Amino acid sequence: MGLNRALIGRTYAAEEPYEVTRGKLREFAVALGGELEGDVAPPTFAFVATLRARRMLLDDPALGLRYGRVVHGEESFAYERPIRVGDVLRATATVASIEERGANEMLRWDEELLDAAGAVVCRLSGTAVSRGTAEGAR
Amino acid sequence: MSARPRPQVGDAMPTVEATVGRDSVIRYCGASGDFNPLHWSDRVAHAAGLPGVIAHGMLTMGVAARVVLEWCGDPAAVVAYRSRFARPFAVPDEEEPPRVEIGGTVTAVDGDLVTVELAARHAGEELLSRAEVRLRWPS
Repeated sequence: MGLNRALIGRTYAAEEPYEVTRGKLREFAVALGGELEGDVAPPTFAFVATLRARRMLLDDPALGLRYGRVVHGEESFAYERPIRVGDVLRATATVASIEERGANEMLRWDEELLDAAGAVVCRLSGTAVSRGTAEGAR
Repeated sequence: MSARPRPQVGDAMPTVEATVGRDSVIRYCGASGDFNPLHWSDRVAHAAGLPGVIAHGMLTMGVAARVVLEWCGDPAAVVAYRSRFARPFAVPDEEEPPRVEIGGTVTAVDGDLVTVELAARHAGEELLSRAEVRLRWPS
């Protein structure tokens, strides 16, 4: 089964906000081979804060994605301001498009991170490549 | 970190070598919460047609961002960042972990906004493509 194009345009919102803690940022910075600088998150941390919303999207049984076949195709971040310790962030993830690329399917998502005041902190967009699930590949 | 003078178009940042071993990938699973089995199970990776466990694209992208921010000197400088993942980066469980060379060239300067095209190479192959970071250079 290919991916369900009826879901294009659907938005998933994480039930709970993501609370940014110093310990988590330190763990993340160390995993990148560095260290936490002050209270500023490494820029790619936005992708962690949106994880729950994105997983709701990717794990929606109606979508038909098989997680063990998925690799990340591309990612982009547009920051209004850096993420800092103490931020309480709300994330949404929207199915932007689903396209065939040879034997694979390419799913694009758009995500937003809002702070406690409702201001946009970061907009993200990325693709997941579903390997070998395109119509012609079966 | 300490801020350095604003660079000019054509300037290159010094190339830095980062080690990305199997332990790095497992650590990134925990730090990011992304436990896709392609990042820890050779069995699942083989079934998906890959040579073995691959690094998260976001790990490569995150390490490249660390290097460029260490060069810039301001951890809060990133305004925008994007990349494609050019190829799966297989990280075998071997004594000598893979090394990734990270470099960059300034492609645009507009006021205090500095755009850097980034490259991350392993064994001569590009891991990132169209990788670009825009920095608000500290004054």
